[in-house]
Amino acid sequence: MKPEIRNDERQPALSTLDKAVLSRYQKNFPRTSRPFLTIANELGCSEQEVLNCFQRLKQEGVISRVGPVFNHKKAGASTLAAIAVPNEHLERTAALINGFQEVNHNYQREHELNLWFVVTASDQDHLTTVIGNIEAATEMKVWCFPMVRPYHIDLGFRPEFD
Amino acid sequence: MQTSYIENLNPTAPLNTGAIDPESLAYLRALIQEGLPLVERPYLSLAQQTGLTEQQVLDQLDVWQTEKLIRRFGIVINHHKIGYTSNAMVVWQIPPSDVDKVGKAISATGLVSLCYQRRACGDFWPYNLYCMLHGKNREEVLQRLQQLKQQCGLSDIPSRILFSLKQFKQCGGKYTFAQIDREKEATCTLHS
Repeated sequence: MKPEIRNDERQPALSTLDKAVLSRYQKNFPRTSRPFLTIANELGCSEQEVLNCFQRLKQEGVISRVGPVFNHKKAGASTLAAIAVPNEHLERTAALINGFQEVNHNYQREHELNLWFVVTASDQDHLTTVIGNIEAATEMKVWCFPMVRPYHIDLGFRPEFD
Repeated sequence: MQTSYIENLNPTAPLNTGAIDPESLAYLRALIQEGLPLVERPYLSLAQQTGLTEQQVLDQLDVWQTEKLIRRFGIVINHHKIGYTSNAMVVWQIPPSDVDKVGKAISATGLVSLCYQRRACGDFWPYNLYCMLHGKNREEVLQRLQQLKQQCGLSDIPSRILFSLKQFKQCGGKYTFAQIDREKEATCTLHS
């Protein structure tokens, strides 16, 4: 069996408040003047407790960010892309690709096409330019798999907490 | 330099709601992609940085949500940090006439977090349907895949499973860029 490799395996213990916050506010985070107070009122605790909870989860990396998830099709141009990188060049190539502001996901996957990333840009021309720049920087062919149609999109994650 | 926010906006995604200066709006959109500041009044903080009022910021977010520019608004979780350390992208080669039907069937199972039709690339990459499976370990992901194949009658469909091994980067998509970012990008390319 292949190992599950991660950048950071440490998983913080989650409190009841953490779990409530993570389950309830992946969508419809309050848009009020004091959103953490709104949440506090909904969960029956203090504003400071909620704010501390968010700040700690952010610091621990459980929360990547809080805010809008933009609709790719409406917000600009984007594509999933992949490169077949020889293993000895993987780290270097991944770092080069990460250097592009337009790259927002970058994963090693188990396949000959082993480096997968998402490129988002303000429009199609900009996207094409960035793909060209990535090919020039890595000296490798970038395969593009743009979305044709979504059937199911990420509307938040329903974790089954132990 | 200052006009660069405007130049880079997607013309198909109208931003101007009349009263608000489009430049402030573009700046707000660029800022909020980094996430809300985790302070008592995050929208006021964004307002102060963009020269808007707190109410204008809140109203604008409502506009973007109504226009469906914003798909959801809330916490973005890092799956790995809550125990979902295994994930795989599964790609399928579906006959074009069936792809909508199969895509909808896969979505309806509740077993996948994403399901997209994507452009195939000839014989090299004939796969046109993608979905994402998550689990607490590899076995759980494989079990879900098995379940998915059974429920949707996909056992004989050519497919590949690509487990993720290492996460090099994950952050929100950025669609508007200030000139300074373009310069940074140019520098990146030059240095490589």
